[in-house]
Amino acid sequence: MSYAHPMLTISSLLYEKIVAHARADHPDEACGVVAGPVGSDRPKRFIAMLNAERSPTFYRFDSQEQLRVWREMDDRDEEPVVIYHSHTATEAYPSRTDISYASEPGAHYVLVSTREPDGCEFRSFRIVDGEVTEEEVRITGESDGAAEAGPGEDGAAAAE
Amino acid sequence: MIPPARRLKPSDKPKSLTTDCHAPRGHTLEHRPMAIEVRIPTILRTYTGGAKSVEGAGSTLAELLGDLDSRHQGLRERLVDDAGLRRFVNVYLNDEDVRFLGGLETPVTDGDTVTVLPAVAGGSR
Repeated sequence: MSYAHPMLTISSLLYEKIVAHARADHPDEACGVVAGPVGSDRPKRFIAMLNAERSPTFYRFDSQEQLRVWREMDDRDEEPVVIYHSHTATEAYPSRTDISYASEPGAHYVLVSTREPDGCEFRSFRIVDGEVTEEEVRITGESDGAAEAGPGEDGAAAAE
Repeated sequence: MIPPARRLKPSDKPKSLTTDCHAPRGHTLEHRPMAIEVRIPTILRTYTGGAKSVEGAGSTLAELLGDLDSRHQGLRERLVDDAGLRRFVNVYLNDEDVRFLGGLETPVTDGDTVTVLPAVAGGSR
């Protein structure tokens, strides 16, 4: 697979849910997935996952919860379009550990950094065969009534 | 003694088909020695010719993986190393993570389903 114009397109509502989860679990790392129809590349269904490690420096999906959620996605012809987690003291960039575990070449790996109390880094990456490619994040207005000028639009570009 | 009833699965064909001499082979209740289904995640389907699930035999998970490796060479090494199951994968027997059962020594039997999922993990270090 090749991604000529790598980009994550996500609604502002989903964006805000990911950020809110990261904030709520700070200083521990938060993690989860956003499922979408197979092959659509569109994240639709937000699923916050437990961090079985409950750690400020590591996350791991609870294996039993993961089996349940993966089966549910299978039954609904969905796949994990976005796999997200937070870094609570460092930048929103995949660590060596993140890269070594990344095993969904079709997924958008979203990293959120909560190291600054205000403002938020929200970045998205492809991780294929150990190679990291950052991609643009496009936040759409299809937000079911979420505030238009939310932290979303600014946060997307706020790296470093 | 009456032998114990064989438990029917939804996928089993109606009995009438089994006596139909024109029924296609492989679609009847004929004996199949390899009857543990193993579900393979996308990332490992290069070892199974793209198949989402394969079948194997064995009395423990270790034996099952050995059997699979005879037909899908290289698969086993992606799942286990010298220390046991690799931390990058989760292996489930039916609904249970085998780490909470007996690991590679977990007994398996015909009709079981083994599911392999990549572990989702990482961290800031």
